[in-house]
Amino acid sequence: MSSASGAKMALEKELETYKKHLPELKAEHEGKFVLIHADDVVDTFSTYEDAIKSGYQKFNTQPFLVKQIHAIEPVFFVSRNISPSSTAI
Amino acid sequence: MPFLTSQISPRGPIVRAAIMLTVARKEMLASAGQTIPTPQTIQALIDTGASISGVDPTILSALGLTPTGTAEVVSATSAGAGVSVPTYDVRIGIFAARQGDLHFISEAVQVTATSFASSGYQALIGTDILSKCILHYNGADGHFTLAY
Repeated sequence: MSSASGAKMALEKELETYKKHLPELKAEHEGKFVLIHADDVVDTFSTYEDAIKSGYQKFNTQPFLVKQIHAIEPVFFVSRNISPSSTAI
Repeated sequence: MPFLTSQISPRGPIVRAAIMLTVARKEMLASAGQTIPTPQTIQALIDTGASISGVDPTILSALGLTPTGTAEVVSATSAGAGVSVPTYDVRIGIFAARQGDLHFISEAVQVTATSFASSGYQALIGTDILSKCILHYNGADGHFTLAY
């Protein structure tokens, strides 16, 4: 997985943590939403809303990642002639 | 079921929308005593070719948002390859055609930051949100109806 511009992507550390723990996450929690902060897999949740809520409660404005657990990463499509931003605002 | 009917513009079916913070982020900011940014009113293109909604970075910046997710995206400019992009948690509201009230407010959704410079709209409403709506596109008569 690469960023659109090759620039360091936001949440890169959290994404590495997700990939590192994906084997056990997909075995036990596929379809759920995982909350990750830095190197820590904090918890899993049944809904995106609950995971986001927990992230803000625990980490306030610090970076955290919420990601739905998939064995195969789903790909989203945008038909427009545009380049999605690859870096944090 | 509330609905709005509007003319199809030369750029496509465009609605007036509001990009706003999720309830969770609003609560976090309130408990920290920080200012809660007001919702951003924008023009949004209904795009059945987008499976994830996108919002212009200037709008996300005005809301003070930072990424809370990532998504693998294939766009017309990515040469068929998926690229990993950050996503942001927001709620999207759609205004009724004539009144000023918001007639539809999504639950928390993740959107990409996508630049729409000079396009006449600042967001794409994709099938992630349209999957909860009924869209009737009447090209022959030049109008569309969105029910939700």
